[in-house]
Amino acid sequence: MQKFEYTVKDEVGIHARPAGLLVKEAKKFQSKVMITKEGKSADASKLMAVMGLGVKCGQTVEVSVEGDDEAEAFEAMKSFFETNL
Amino acid sequence: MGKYEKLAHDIVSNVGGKSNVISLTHCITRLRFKLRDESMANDDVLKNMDGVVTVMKSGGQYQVVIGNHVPDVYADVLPLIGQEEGAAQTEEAPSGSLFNRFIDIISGIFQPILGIMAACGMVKGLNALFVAIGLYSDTCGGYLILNAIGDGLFNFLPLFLGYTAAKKFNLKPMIGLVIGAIMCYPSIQGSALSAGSEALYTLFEGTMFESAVYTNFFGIPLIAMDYTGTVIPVIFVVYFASKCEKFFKKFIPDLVKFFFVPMLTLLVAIPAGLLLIGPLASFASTLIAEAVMTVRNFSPMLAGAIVGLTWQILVIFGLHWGFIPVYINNIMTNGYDNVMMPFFACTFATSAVVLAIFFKTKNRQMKEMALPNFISGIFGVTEPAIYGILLPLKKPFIISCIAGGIGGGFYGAFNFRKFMMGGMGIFEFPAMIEPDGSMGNLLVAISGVILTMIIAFAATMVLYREEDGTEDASVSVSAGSDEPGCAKPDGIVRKIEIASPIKGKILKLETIHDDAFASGALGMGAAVLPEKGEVYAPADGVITTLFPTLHAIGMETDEGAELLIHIGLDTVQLEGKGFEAVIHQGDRVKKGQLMVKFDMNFIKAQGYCLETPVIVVNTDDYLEVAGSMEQNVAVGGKLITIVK
Repeated sequence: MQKFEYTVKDEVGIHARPAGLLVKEAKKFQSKVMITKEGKSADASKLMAVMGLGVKCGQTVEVSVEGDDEAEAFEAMKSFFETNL
Repeated sequence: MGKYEKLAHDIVSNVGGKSNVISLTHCITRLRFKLRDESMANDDVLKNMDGVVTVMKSGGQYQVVIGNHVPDVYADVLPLIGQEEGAAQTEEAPSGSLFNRFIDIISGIFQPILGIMAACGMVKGLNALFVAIGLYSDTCGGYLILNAIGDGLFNFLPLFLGYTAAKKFNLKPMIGLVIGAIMCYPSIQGSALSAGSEALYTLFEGTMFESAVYTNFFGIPLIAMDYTGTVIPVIFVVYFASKCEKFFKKFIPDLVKFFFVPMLTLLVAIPAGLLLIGPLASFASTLIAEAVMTVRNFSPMLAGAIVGLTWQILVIFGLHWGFIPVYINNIMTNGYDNVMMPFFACTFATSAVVLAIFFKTKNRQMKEMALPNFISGIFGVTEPAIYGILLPLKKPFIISCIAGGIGGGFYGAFNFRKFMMGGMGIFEFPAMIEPDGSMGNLLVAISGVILTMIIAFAATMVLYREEDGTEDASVSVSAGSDEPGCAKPDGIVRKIEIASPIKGKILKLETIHDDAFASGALGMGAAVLPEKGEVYAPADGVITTLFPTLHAIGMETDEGAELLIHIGLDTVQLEGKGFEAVIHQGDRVKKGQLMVKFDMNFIKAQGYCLETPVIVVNTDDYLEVAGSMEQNVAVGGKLITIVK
């Protein structure tokens, strides 16, 4: 398992549009991508779960990636967060 | 001509006119044309036509996506291309190999009774279980009634199949039902005719086709068989009857058609069926049983493998009956049977395949059926699994036959025997303990079951892919559908309708002013331009997410659809201003219950667009998610149709 922490800079937080893009990205990989905020975790491939976290601007989330293609997924998720959120 | 006359006309002229159309069928949402020359069609004109969602080309078909009122449009298009409804039906009959076509017909015929069949199989299996563990005896009234509940459908299967087959072959469904009833009529069953009476004479005496004739039809010998519980005979008779009906309809004057057509159809089809099918089935099954016994003389393993491999196919045709006399005779004279018994592996091969499908399928209905079918299969009732799951998906059926063949070969090689008659599925084990009490044979039985189940389960897990079952455009089960978004009408298709949460104007999702929603990236659905600032529950379900800013609601309906109702675009920025929630996250809501109020004027004044997308977030779980084609909608009116 690989993980990284990220502080959201997007001013609306991880909401509908960014959340949708995030889910799309996460679904590309076989690995399970989890997003954790303040002890609450959500499967990044489930839109409702991701949005349910209610991540706001300035909050820090932990993103963990686990599975066969985790190295690849890790890089992709990291760059996704950095460019979009 | 119906209300889509103009649309139909426009569509036909833009696919290149009547002469360019080879054939037309439709599915849940699409008109599926076969065109001589696809380049003659004006894609862009069609795509932009009012009443046409879009155009797709796939698998040699030119598909015009209409929406769920496609049957009406279809009916209006037909006369324009000079195709009759009946002709369309035959066109719908899948091209592809004979094997595929046959399987499609069978699974289509079974489709309407699958759920009930799974239920009955379960009752039958549990009843046997309760007797086996000694809860009650098989002579008590409770057992009798429960057995009737569990077995009624299977015993009178020809009635149900007659009815559904008639629909398939365009025979009056009630005539099909009557044909099924006649074929199950107690006094013409082979066992009833032979019971307690002397044979009139014997045909083909001295050959292996030697058959006792107990009755005749005005001089023509009738080789009887038991039609109760059979599948293929009634389908053949109904097919033949559908031809007869068509023929008689042509020649009988309208005035007396109502009465004479069914009468003549029955009078021709039934005797012809009984006189032909009985002997054919009994000769073929005898031939097969004889062949297996011959093979057994030089290789018991091969003979076992043949029985295991072909058993399920034989059962479908009712040809396994050839083994029953051999089996009974063996047990009576040798004290055991080892010729038919290799079939034992098949029950478990079927069950294991179904279990694997339970884990793999995404089709909810398939999943829902798989578990009870697995359980009743273990108890020896495999019909629901075979007709409901394995056959329609094709590949799993082949896997189960091969696994059964391997298990059968194993049983043949180790001279697996059964010493007493009776029992089904796992309840046959006690009859496999050798009379002297030694356990060697039981061990063989159990090892064979385990071997077969592991092979069948593993092979299905590895080889079965959801789309495999449906790669052929004509497959009737929509486990994965032939391509995203379309299913055959006679497949396992369920529609879920999502009501509009808001009164207003319906917008196509792709036209709204937010790329994330318009592109479908968040899922498919529809949007409403509200006329009133109230959001009502679109279905029964649970509020999974109520955003702190109250501008969006996530809910999971009781039918499993995950919906996102996003009030206005970018309204997250309002941070809750202008919104008032009546419900809380985690609440259960009833369809039509008020959930959120919003101040339309305020939101508009703040510069936000009120377009409210309603999205099916788990679109990927479904075949098609289609927005309504209407212009306006009231609260509770149909907004989205989900096909799964």
